[in-house]
Amino acid sequence: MTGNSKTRVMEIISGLSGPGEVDRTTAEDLFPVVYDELRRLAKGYMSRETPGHTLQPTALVHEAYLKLVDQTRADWKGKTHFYAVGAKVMRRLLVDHARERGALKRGAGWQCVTLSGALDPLGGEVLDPEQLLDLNAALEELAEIDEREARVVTLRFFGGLTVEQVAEALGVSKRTVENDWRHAQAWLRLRLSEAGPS
Amino acid sequence: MSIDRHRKAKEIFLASCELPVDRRASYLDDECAGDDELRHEVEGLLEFDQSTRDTMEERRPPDRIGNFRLLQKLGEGGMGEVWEAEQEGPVRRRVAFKLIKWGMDTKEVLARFESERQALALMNHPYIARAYEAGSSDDGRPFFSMEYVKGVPLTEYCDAQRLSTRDRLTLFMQVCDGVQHAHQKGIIHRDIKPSNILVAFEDGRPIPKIIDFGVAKATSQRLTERTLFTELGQWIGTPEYMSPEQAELTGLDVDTRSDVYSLGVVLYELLAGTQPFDSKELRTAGFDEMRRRIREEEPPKPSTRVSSLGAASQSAAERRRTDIQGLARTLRGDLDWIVMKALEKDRSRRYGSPSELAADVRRYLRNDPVEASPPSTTYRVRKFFSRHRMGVTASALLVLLLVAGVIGTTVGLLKAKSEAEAVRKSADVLEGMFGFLDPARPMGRALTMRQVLDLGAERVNSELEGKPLIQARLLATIGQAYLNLGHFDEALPLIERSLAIRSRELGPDDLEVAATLNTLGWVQYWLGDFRSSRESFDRSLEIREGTTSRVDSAVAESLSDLAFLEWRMGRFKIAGELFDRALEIIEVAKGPNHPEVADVLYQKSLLLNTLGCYTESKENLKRALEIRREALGADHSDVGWIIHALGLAHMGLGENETGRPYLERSLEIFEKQLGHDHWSVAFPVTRLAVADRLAGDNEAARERFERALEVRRQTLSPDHPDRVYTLFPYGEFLVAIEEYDGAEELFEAALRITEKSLGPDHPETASSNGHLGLLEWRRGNYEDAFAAFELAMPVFRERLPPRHHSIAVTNLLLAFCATHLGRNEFAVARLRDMHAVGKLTLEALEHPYLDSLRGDPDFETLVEKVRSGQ
Repeated sequence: MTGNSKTRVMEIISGLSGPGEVDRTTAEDLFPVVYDELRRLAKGYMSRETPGHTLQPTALVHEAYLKLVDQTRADWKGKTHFYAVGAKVMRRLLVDHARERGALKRGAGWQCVTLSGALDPLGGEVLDPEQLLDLNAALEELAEIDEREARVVTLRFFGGLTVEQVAEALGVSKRTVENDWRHAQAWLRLRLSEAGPS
Repeated sequence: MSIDRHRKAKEIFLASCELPVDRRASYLDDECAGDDELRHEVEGLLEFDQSTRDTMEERRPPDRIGNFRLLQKLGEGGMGEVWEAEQEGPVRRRVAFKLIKWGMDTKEVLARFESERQALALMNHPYIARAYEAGSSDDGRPFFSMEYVKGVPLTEYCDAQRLSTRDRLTLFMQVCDGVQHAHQKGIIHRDIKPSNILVAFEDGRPIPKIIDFGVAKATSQRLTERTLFTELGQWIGTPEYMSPEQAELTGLDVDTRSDVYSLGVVLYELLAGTQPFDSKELRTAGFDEMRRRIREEEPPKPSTRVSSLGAASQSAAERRRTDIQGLARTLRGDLDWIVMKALEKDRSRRYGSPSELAADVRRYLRNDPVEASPPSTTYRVRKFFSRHRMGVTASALLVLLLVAGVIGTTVGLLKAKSEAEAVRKSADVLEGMFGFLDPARPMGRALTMRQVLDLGAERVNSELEGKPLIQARLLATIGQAYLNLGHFDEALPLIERSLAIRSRELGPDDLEVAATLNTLGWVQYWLGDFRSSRESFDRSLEIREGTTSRVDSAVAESLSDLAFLEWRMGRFKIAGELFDRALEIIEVAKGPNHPEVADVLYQKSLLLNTLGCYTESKENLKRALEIRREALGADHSDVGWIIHALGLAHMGLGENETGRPYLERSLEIFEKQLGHDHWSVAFPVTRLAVADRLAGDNEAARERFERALEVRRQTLSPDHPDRVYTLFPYGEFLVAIEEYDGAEELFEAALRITEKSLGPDHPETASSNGHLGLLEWRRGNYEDAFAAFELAMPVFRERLPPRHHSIAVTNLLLAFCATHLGRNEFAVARLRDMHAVGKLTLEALEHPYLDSLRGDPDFETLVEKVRSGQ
């Protein structure tokens, strides 16, 4: 990690101050930096781990945070916002990878992914790339009819944010997040069961 | 599915979730009547919701792992969870079972987990929860089992049992023994707090058990070779209990004395019932501010804290089987010093180990002299500064060092980790250099301080060019000192320079910039430049309100200062609103009995006095007095100000002789603390002169008025509005004894000052006119008098409450003049105005000046109304 990216991230993070939604422009500024770092980390993991290893995106986001953010200067809100951006980045990375893998059929890299540890809403222990793409499609569908709920899922799922952190990042109450989350889990399962080949 | 239908299905789904399962069907019958598609969707959602709940249930660890049967979850952290479990073999016992959360087994977590297990395994002590065995579950999650402590957190136990202070100390010494053992095994706990010290019963005796070595650190890197994830700069520990060096976050420089500090916090809480730093305030202050406080702010002594907390202390005292006074008495002295020694910012001044701390507690319990004591140098240096109202800051001491030419030493001090550390180090150096710093020995006071400051300012300007922030801090400190000594002209350029440097180095919206602006505002106020002062206070408030690391007490301070200025500028309504806002914020942030609440109450009482609300003012002042006395002692000049305002309130109510002792006492305090010619003494001296006059002692009154006038002449700029506080009453006195020319001179001066500094719309400018009117009326120049009152009246009406004394008096005087000018109708109208607000008395109506009105039907109707009390 270069010092420059660290400085850049700090600049952006310290701009992320107000409660409520992550400001879109700052989030967009942060996205490429976080994307590069996460991709690098993920790659490192994949080359080190034995084939078939289960990837834990949340752990990666956490690691990226430690690497990119000067914790002596970031406050709690900055952390939440970083994680929020990290979640979006992680989702993109995983989807990109799953598509690539689908095209190549075989190849290096993860074969399964455990989404956000204990938070996995789908009940399955792990997802393979195809399931991940199904999930992503369902999430895109959800975003069209209930954008906020889809965001809640992304943050919890790919960033491992707690209910409180999601509430902070989106500027809504905890209760709202809990409701969205409960509904989203049922809704996703319902959609995936309808769409899935099984 | 459309957005609307989706939303509807979601609503019904969520509502159904709240219902018992057996009532859902009928609910759906109602909600989805005739809409099968909707019902189908909701039913699908509910079905999958159920399977989600089931999965979560499965996500629990299996009921049995190895030889352990899991019974119930005791708690969980970010990475691990702790269960109560039954070990079934080889020994059968109840254990605490800790395992890593599902899906959290990253390398860092594993490393941390392993280090905790090893730490526990190294230790063997009755007051530390014992580790039993380690392994991993079938799905690969590592676990270990340890002694199951059936107990409650230390503070909870002590309060529930209503343990006396002695019993609490006995338990605390045992805790120290446990921590000492860990240290001997090379382990620093790093997260000592009451919830990590459980009290259990063994053989009918309460035994403390230290738990959770989850962030413990080996002193010699034996535990694990892997970098602990906690050392990547992660926030470790709990802010309220965290030592200053832990708050540094470098992570590398934390040793066993950090635990001594945390033990000090625990002791503080056991004794005083509250933590040294207000928890809510600490956590809402923002990350950097929180760390700064831990590193720099000196907490109040436990006894002081107990005295200032009011109702909270009452219940704390009851839980210790005593009352507030009793508890404060017990804590004052030895226990205060023991706690404060454990809480020293500079760890080399703390107890070297938990056992040394315990030994001092033991000495206290045996009535032996304790090791801890007020460090004499610091104590004496502090006294020196508090005598000179400079406030104790490291920077002030640094100024002295600069002056003394010990720059070499000073640069070392500038590198000191915290301000507190710098205070102590400089105190040591000063001890040798300034043997005269003995509070018992009177010294040249202001003159000496002044010389010191002049020299200091010069050197700070010339020798700290390359260290802008330190330079800015010292400039501000010296400026503040000048301000406190009343040398406003000297203060201004220093504060302005400090502000410029800080704005440049830290950005225009930094909190330090706000603090400097606040000081600047006061300097401008004292220079009589109210408009600039208001701008400075305004800007400071703006920064403090807008910052992400908002500190409520700072916002309240800005609001209150701004309110003070609005009051002084005659905008009483705005002032009142600002005071109320400040009070609301500070009471929530600090509790009702905090010294900062007293500050606002005092300032607000000045407004209430102006508005004539003396009774309410007295209430506020009494409350403020109690708080400030407890916090500052009876002789502090800030206590003097409250006593002075109480005197004013009594005099406002016409209780002159009740007011007099207050004024005398405040004068005594000001003279003793600030010197005989400090600007503050002019206030009580003026009011005492008024009291003398009312008591008929003209001789004494004149002498005091002259003294007050002279002090103000010496200490204030020629145009400073505060001069009118003496000019008005002195002039009134001269009018009363018919020295009209002397009075005219004073009132003309007042008019010149108020018009220039306050503007034509200020009540004090109006008052200058009113006083001139009074004089002319007495001289028999009714037309001039009438014109002067007519100038004053609209301003009074605009700025003062309708029942205000000044309005009533001016109306009456207008009526008097009008009768002489043959304007009877106008005179009656003025009297009606007075009657409308209930300010017209029979006594006034019977006045001979109104004789020409008698027989006038309107006037007689009015007299009849007043007589019958209508």
